[in-house]
Amino acid sequence: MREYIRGTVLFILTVVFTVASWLILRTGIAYASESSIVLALIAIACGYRLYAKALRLLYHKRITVQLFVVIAIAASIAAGYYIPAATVVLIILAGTTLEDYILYRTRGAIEKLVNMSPKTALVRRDREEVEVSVEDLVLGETVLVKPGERIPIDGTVVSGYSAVNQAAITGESMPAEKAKGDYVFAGTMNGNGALEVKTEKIAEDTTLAHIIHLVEEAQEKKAPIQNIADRFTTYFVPSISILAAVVFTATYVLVGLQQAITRTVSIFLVACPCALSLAVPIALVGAIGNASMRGIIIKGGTNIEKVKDVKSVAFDKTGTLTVGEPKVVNIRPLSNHSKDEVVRYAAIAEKFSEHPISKAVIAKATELGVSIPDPTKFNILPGRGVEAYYGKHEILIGKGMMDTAVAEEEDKAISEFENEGRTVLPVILDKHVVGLIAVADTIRGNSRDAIERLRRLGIKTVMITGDNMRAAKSIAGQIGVDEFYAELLPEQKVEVIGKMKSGGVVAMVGDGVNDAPALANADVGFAMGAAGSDVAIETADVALLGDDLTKVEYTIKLSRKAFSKMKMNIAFSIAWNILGLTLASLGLLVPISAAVLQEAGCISVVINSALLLLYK
Amino acid sequence: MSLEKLTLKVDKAEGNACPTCGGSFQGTTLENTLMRLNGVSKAKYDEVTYKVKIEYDPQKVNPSKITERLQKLGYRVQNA
Repeated sequence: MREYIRGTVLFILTVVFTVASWLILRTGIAYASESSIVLALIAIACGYRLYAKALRLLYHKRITVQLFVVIAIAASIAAGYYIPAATVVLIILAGTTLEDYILYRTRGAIEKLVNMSPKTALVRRDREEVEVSVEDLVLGETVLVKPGERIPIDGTVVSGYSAVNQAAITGESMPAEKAKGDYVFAGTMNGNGALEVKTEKIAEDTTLAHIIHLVEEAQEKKAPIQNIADRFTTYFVPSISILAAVVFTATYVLVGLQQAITRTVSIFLVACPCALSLAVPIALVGAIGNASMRGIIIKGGTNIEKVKDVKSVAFDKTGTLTVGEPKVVNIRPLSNHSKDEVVRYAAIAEKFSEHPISKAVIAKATELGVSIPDPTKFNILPGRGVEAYYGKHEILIGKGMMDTAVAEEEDKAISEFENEGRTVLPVILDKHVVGLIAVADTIRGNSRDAIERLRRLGIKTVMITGDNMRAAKSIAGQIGVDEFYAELLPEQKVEVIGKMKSGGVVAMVGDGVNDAPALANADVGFAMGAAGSDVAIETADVALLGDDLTKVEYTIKLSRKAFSKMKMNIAFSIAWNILGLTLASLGLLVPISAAVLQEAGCISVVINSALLLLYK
Repeated sequence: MSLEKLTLKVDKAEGNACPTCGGSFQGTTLENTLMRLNGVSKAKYDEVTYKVKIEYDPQKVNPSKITERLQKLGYRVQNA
């Protein structure tokens, strides 16, 4: 920040002295021209950092464009053009100050993340609450988080209940409910409840700190397209030197010394590879910064270039397109029993089972407000179902428990559910089927939207799953993917990805844990819901920290935009330099216009790239 | 609390950015990144000599951690 203040002050001083110099010259008072020269020289002196740097570069045997600028200014002074020289300095300082400011703002995306994390924490020590610096916390200590405050550490809630806005991490502003046993992240915003959190990760080990480090690293990872720009930059200084020498000699011979100096000075001022070399890095920082504010970490420029070309996206089903937790989706009471009764008997039998399906039944019973007494006896028969007793009643759950001949009505209902891809639990009370409960994994709220958006971009969507054909077909139909493959072993998923590659760049979206081989084999691996797993964040090419699948499409659109800006900027910079150099060589550009042209080109590129930060 | 000083010479692994503006672009990134390291109180990059001067609290961070961070960003690091 101090740099900008110093830069701005020097720029303002240059403006003041240049204007004063020009005004005094016009008054025609005594010694006007001498005073004017002194003022102009002071203005020129304000650019001392420019000259110092060029001279130091020269001392270290590095010939750069900055040296040209200094030669140009020196030549102008020698030729008696004091005010024009001061104006050139003014323009250059204006350009640099503005550029620095834009760069600072572009970098600001990270700064925002950094500031999410509180510097102090309220901790319980010796039954007293004390405020300590986050760095001094000890693992295992209990941190108190008041309503409306940001959580200072990663850890598990030990008491309290609150809705926590995790946008800082996941980019999603829908608050997540947190109660005892839930994991919370540093930097996320506590809602209306107070929480007590057991400290598990502090300072640089928190998820937020990892994210910041990864974003910093990603922004430094060059995009391959940068090589084109670099190639131009390498030949830049020698080419300009030769051009300047040729133009100087030719003009000196054909026109005269004064015109030769003017043209050479203009060439030196208009030539700047900065637009060329800044175009790509700034676009990269802008795009990656933009993504990071939305809970997306794109790992470097190479991945931006790959993502922009994605032709098909493979999705894992369970836990990616679906929530990954079975839920009761239908209850069909039979005979004259009620829904509540069916759920109640099922819940009694399943009460002490840890199976995901049992949990789904219990959750449904709780939701319906059905009380669940303890079973007097219960027994899990793996692969078949549950057998339980409640008082004098015998309760059996599961298809494997139905040995009596099934009535037609029941049979029809069972196959109906199964064709929809559901798992059916018959509830059998004292040898009679009282009802059927259909359980299924539910589709994530935004899966369908995510697929639809990709279709609009002309991208093919494919679902790959190890699940059975019927369940897969049902989910695929509901979500609307173009193709699906079911009953795949992990290595077969890799094969499917391989086949898809014949149609162009393939992205794979998964949770990053179970589908690691497929993710690694795709051209671009998107890990979803990665906030909880450092491994997933580290290994993915693109990590979606939340579980909003529409971010896949956003990442593709952003990458396309970023890449087209990089290309556009490089092309523009080259054209701009050629135009400027041609005009200067032909004597159509006075030094001041040359400096203006150069700075304008550079700033347009910088602004154009920095705008990626605001892309939506 | 006494601070210690460290000077490292860094070089971008894959060639340098722009000789004029690219230098300052790279410099600010490098300085910002180091300053965000816990325990680093000062980081100043000299784009002419490629040297970065660092002031840090030895209780909180050590030279190998600082070096590691720079290497992760893609810089070649040498003691200067």
